[in-house]
Amino acid sequence: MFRASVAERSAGCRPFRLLALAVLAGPLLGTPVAAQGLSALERQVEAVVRDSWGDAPPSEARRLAQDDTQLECSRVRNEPGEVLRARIQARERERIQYPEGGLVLGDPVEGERIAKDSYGGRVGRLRPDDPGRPNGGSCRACHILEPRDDMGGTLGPPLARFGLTHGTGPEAVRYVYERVYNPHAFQPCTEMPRFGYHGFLTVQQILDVAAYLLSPGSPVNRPESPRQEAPAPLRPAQP
Amino acid sequence: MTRFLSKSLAFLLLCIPFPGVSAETPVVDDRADSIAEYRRMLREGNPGELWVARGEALFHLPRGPNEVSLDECDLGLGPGVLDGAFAALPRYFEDAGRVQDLESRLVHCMVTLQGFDREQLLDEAFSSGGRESDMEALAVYVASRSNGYPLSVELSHPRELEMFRIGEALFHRRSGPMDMSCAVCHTHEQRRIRLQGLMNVNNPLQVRDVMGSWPTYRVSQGTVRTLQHRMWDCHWEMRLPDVEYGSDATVALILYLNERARGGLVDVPGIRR
Repeated sequence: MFRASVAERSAGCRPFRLLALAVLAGPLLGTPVAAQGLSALERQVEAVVRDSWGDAPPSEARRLAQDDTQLECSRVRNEPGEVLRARIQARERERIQYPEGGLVLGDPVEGERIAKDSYGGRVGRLRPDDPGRPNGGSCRACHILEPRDDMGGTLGPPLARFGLTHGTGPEAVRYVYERVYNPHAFQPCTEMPRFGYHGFLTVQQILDVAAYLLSPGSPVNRPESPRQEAPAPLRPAQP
Repeated sequence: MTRFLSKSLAFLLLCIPFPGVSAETPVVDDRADSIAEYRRMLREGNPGELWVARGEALFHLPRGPNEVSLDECDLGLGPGVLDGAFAALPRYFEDAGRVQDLESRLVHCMVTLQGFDREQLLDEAFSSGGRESDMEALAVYVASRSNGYPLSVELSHPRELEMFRIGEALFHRRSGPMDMSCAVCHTHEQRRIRLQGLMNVNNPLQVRDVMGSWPTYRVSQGTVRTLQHRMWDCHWEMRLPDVEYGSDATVALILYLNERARGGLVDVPGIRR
């Protein structure tokens, strides 16, 4: 009897918001979760999500709806088995769209700025980012970008000297573009965001980042030897 | 006394250099020890103690339309029992019919006992700019009355177990334009976002250390921040909308984390960058 309680409470309290969410959940993030078979626990979780973000305007609340890959990766705690890996990989590859002008390296200076900029995409009443300003890629939050980069995070692999091993040929440009546009096409359930798929970065921004990573003159590819190991955390864990 | 304390604290803060306070500080590997030392020194003169003192005064003062204090507020161990109460939260409360954490319980008491307006309490829960938050002071005061107690949520009530499972699922639930979940950052050992070390939810020592030290004084924000603020902040960084203060999602996540942190000692206010 307790099992259904959370869902019942929220469903009873906010019928109109529920309805609005059901209608609006889909378009932005692909297949809405409602279309897929959910477990009893998952239905409770969705009810809690609707209730706990009940005051968010529909334009923001739709961000909470999971698409197929988000749901599947959540279920397996980001460790998909072979079958699921293949399914996600194929599906996400289909979702990659290419620039009309072809895959041409962009501006490495602009790419550096984008890679190191974490502005953009935050919503809400308390501290929203200015939607009129272009989003940054936050690459440095998770990657050490340059041989002497003391600021980069370590959630993702270091990218220092990335271009020296990849060159600037068409395969390298295509690889970086696709990898940033939709990393699940390479590594299903990776923690890296699908920057192109979500439109978080524009196609041109991705080509600029590719230029920053690949160009021989870029600070990424400076000849200094990279650190032997990633530096130890400066601060103790304190989320 | 308070003024004296305030002055000495300000003096202390001026005297101590601030390595690690700015996000732009370069990594120098051999400085990790000096950072820990700096944090130890700061703890001895933690400005958050001023919030504890203000919270104590607010708690026992007759306030609100009903002009009563919070002395009759039941935080789980009976009306007016504060010692050790925070360490066993969140828990199920019969009178509210739901699982509540410290802050949602305080809101409950301030509405039902003191007659405050719920919406206004939620709106003003986080201090901002020049406006102080009573909730931040009350929360850190009540939490400080559990100092030295082990975190000890029990999950003995079916609703508590239900909320724990929901919290665990929420922790791993990916969504939004960055495909984020809590787990994306907080299931790895020794990883960083930029220079900031990330708690690993699977490392009990780290979870205990973290959950036992909130509410915390935030040097960069000049105020005490609570776990509810931490929950809002994480979702904001994940590019999700504002999660409602004291909502079931936040309570479920806090319950999940406190279960993982069971046995950790409460030691608040913490102090952070």
